[in-house]
Amino acid sequence: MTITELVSQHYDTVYRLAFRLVGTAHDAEDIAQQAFLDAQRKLDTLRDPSSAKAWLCMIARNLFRRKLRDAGPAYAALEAVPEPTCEASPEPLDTNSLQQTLQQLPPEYRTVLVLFYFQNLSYQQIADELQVPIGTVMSRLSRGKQHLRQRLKGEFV
Amino acid sequence: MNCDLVLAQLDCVRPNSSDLLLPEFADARAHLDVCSGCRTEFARRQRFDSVIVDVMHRVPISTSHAAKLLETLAHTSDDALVIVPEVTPKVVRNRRWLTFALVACLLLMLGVVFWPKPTNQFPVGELLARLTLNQSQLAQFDKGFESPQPFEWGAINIDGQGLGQDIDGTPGHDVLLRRFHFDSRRGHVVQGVLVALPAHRVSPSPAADRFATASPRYRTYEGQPFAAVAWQEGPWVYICLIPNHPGDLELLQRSTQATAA
Repeated sequence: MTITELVSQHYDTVYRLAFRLVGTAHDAEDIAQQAFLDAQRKLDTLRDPSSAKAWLCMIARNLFRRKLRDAGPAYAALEAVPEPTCEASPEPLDTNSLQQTLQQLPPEYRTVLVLFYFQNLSYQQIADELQVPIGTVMSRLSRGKQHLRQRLKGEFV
Repeated sequence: MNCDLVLAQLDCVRPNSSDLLLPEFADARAHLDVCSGCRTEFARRQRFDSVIVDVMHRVPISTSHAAKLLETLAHTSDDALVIVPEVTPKVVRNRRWLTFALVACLLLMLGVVFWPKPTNQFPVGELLARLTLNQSQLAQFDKGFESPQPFEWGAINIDGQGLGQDIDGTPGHDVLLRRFHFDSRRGHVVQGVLVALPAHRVSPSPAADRFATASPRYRTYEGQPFAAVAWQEGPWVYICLIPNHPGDLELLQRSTQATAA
């Protein structure tokens, strides 16, 4: 498989994943570009072309984690995220309001939610990918989803 | 079980999946059977999750960035677009080695001309990537090989007429595709596509030797998600494609096991 084929087939997925993790188009483009540059260097380690998408997504997620480390101090805990002060918007849910809500979350919760909703990974697969205990993933999923439901509930009451 | 604990546990169930049938959710399922409040709340949360999944993928993309990326990749390394084994030229100092190399090349050229060309083989993953369900790209099967039926599929109705697809660009159909349907005892009809090809065209061989025990992979054809399982029976490899309705594949696998028993 060539790098051109990888870009043609998987750029959209890698970009969308990066966008959901970092929240801005500029940063998502940076991560997507670096992911494919890294993939180009390591192309000979990709044994099964059918796993290319998962492989590229893993590279993108690792770049996101590196970006967080380089950004400096740890983000606030989930408890520090303020409760909503007004009624949730009655407008239909759109991609921007979802992203704003995701950005309010600490990155470890955001990552779990993106792996669950975007990549459709089970909680066990998420635990394997992130190398954290299953109980940690279950807890972050539950609390992260509760956060989404509270802030986006206008559409779902 | 406490309702809050059950609902928190059920937050791990993916929408439109068969996760709820997993053994670790047995207690939660039992609670849902007796608690209407939790059933209602769980259903509401699953609807919410389905909407989130849909919106999660709706990210606008700039096509110009992908094009710029391809330029950057091309400039990063002239020979990086295709990975090929490096060939390091060696200086031949010994005439005997030169004679040996020339003879070897001559024999190789003769071998290429006279030896039969190896049949193209594919791993299952690549077959799944190359398969199409678009009828405009398929043709009536040319009967290049017989039309086999899997061993435990006696109760499943397979269409007699099949379509063929050329996978490797050489003349002749490489795979046979036939629609099937199965009427379950619950009145639900499972439909899908059965693909068959000679086992020597698949390498490495699928790990499963029965349909009932084959593990699913997931692909999208014509914009619709499918669950796919592959297995080998004797000289044939089969691939079963079922639209990704939760439980349909498991239902069919369980039914073939019951039939075999």
